Amino acid sequence: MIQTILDALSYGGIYGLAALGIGLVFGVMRLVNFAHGELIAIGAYLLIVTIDLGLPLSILIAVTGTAILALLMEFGVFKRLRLAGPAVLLIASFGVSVFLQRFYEIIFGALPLSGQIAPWMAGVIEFGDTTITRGSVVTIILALVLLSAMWFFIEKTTLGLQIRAASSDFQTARLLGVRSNRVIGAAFVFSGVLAAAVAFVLVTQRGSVDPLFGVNITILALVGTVIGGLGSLQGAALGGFAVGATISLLNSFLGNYRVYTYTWLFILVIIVLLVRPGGLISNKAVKERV
Amino acid sequence: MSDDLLRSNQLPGVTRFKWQQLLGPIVVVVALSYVVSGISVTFTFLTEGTLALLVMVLGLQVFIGNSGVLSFGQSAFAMVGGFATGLLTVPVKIKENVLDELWEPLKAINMGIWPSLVIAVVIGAFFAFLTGLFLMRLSGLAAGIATFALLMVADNVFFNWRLIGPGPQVMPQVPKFSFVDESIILAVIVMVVVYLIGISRRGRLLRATREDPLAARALGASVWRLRVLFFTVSGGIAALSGAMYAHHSGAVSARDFYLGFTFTTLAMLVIGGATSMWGAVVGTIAVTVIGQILLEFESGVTIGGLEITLPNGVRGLVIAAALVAILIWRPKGLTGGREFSLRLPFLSRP
Amino acid sequence: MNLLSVRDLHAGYGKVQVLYNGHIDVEPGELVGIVGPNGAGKSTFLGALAGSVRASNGSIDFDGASIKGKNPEDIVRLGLAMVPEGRAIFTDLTVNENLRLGLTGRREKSGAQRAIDEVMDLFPVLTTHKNHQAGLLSGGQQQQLAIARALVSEPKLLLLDEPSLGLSPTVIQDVFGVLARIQEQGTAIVVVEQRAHLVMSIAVRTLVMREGHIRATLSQADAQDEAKLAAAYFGTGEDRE
Repeated sequence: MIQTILDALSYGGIYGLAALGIGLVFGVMRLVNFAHGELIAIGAYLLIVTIDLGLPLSILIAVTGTAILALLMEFGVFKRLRLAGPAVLLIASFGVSVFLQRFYEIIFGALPLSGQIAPWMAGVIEFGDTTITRGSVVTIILALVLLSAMWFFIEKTTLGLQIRAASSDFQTARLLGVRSNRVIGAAFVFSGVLAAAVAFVLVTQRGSVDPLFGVNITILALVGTVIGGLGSLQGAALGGFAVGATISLLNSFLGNYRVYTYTWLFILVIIVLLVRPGGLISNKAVKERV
Repeated sequence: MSDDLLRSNQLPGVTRFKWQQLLGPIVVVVALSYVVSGISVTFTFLTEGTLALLVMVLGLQVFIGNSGVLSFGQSAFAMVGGFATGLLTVPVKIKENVLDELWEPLKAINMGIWPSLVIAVVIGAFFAFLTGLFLMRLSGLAAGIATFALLMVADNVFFNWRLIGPGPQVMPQVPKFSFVDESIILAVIVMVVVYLIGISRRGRLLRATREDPLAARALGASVWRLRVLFFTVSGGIAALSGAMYAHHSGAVSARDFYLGFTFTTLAMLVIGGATSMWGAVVGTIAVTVIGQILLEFESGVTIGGLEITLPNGVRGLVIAAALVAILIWRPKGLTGGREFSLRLPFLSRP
Repeated sequence: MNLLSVRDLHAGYGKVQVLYNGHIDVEPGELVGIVGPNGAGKSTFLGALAGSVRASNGSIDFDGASIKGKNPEDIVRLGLAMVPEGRAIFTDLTVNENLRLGLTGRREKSGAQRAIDEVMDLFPVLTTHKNHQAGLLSGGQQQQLAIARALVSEPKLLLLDEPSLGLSPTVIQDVFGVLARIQEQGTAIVVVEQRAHLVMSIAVRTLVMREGHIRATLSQADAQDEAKLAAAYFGTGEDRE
């Protein structure tokens, strides 16, 4: 029972991090970035390829590499589409996503690449009669630390303030002198860092990575940002958490019917979009720039 | 800021029926189909498959191009169409052997390809109508995400519900088309339908709402009705595409119409130009030709004694790059979103 | 020398042109008004000056250099700040955070605290509500915050778009009183208003716009002349250009 709750919390934390990464970029440029999954995938690839250098160095390389790829996306593609609407950006990110999947296939092969990252995470901790996995505890701690760090950055720093302002009214923020490219670049870098954290947890769980590694979690995290309210950072993190925890709990309780979890989840998404376009958690309306 | 790919140089309302705009693309498609399918059996197979894709892209065009609303949901209706025709035409014996969990009444049904195609289209259009009633209240990004959610639901249901199909397996022994002519005829019919509905009064009205959000707001509820209508037509055409695909490959499964299929057909539409029927045709042909050439290279080609073998994945990489490049540098697509014209493109006024 | 000098400015959105042949001169410390009916192109004119609306043609010289085609974030750093229509304060952020955002547009990072203290002097009410959400302020207080937020960048020229919008007459008096004080401190101001009388009484010159064109330039003396004003405003009689 305790393990079930811990699993729900750790799943929720991981999906929350992924959703926050998507929400950050959406906030400042109204881009729903399908290619966030490929940021997670490159993080996982880098971890597995460099793990022989030792875990700390490997993590450093993965975080840096993922952040650089996020910036490359911005400079290579999205910066050139500043005048495009959200629908065009969505299609473009779909293109970037497929491009990177095929790129990974060419570089690393279509088959899964295995590796042991932090095998100690698979171990268990015993408290009298109950045993819990280390992985879920570490994941929860990691999620808490990163979410607090992001909260501090967003709420307490000047750059964070600028990101919040740009998320709610980009035009006015620019009139006040907020440098759009800098804010958007920062959002991409942080979404890359968050993607690397997600990659770390997922790859320790699964022990392998393939070109489509990040697709599933991205689609589900996207659900989280929609439910939480696109454009609201707290909403995105909470929405992601809710989706992750729900999936984890449904998987434990639904038995054979759990294969239909996605159906109910996505029907819920459609209902939320129809009834409360601003999201369940946030009251803010999605302001699409005209 | 605007969704440029969804706007065209052709002002709404000025589009009148022109024989060359309809016949041009038809001649190109028919001629190309016969020439290519005449090369070999492999190329006949390729032609049939491409025609099924063309129908799908036309189905996307009739909705996305005219309404300006992004939709990922048409793949769900292709899935419906593919499964419907599979269930209606696969021999009863095969169903009993392979699809043992199938709903009993479905097991007993069997009919020919043509009546089955009609039913598949009707079912696809019906589902599009039902979902459209809700989804067409949304526009912009919300519509994009909601239709994507629809695709996810369809995939999840078809992938798991063995009462209505093979679940994660493949539905085998779907009767194949005998000749390439069947696919050609179907594609031509769809081209005519898509062109005519595009230039119809309702089509022009819907395009007016695409070009001018204010007009859209002024028309209010009728925009919703127009969108539902076009979404329904588009869903029927997508279902036909799914069914054509099933009769072309002789088998059907849920994953045939998942993200890969959705991406390819959307890329074809955007690369060709979303706002015209000719754009759908050009995009389908262009992506197929590039894909085919790269496929050759992936399996190794010898040029002047030099053997070149590209790694697997290059095909998808190039098509994705082409999509992104088009969005950046030529957002209206290769055709500029214009219909077929005998004049050279650079002579026509923008 | 003119602080702002605009000639033959054309601007609009996409293919729709809204402003034709716009021109304006502002000397340091001057208050210039722009009036005209709804849809006359006033806001577009201001937007083009601030860089948020693309100018297709013409010249904009500010403080001795051309700023046409520059980004809004660069223009504000040159000393041209804008208070957009509808105030556009960040309602989710606190008053203090709104002001801190205004500091982004300063050229020199030193003196930031002094700038904030100065606007707090000018608008004492903001001190009281420093840590409150800006969305909780009244309309008049929000307008004061929007002006204060622009002022902390210590601009040489302040652009205001419809500052009286949605405010009660007494509050409007307060806001316009503050404008006079800002002007006294040496900041030039351009105010766009639909309520012509408000501006013309304090502006050294007032441009009258209609249908995307500047139809007349009225002096302070002209403002007292109802017939002249009506003629310029409604297009009766001859257009002076």
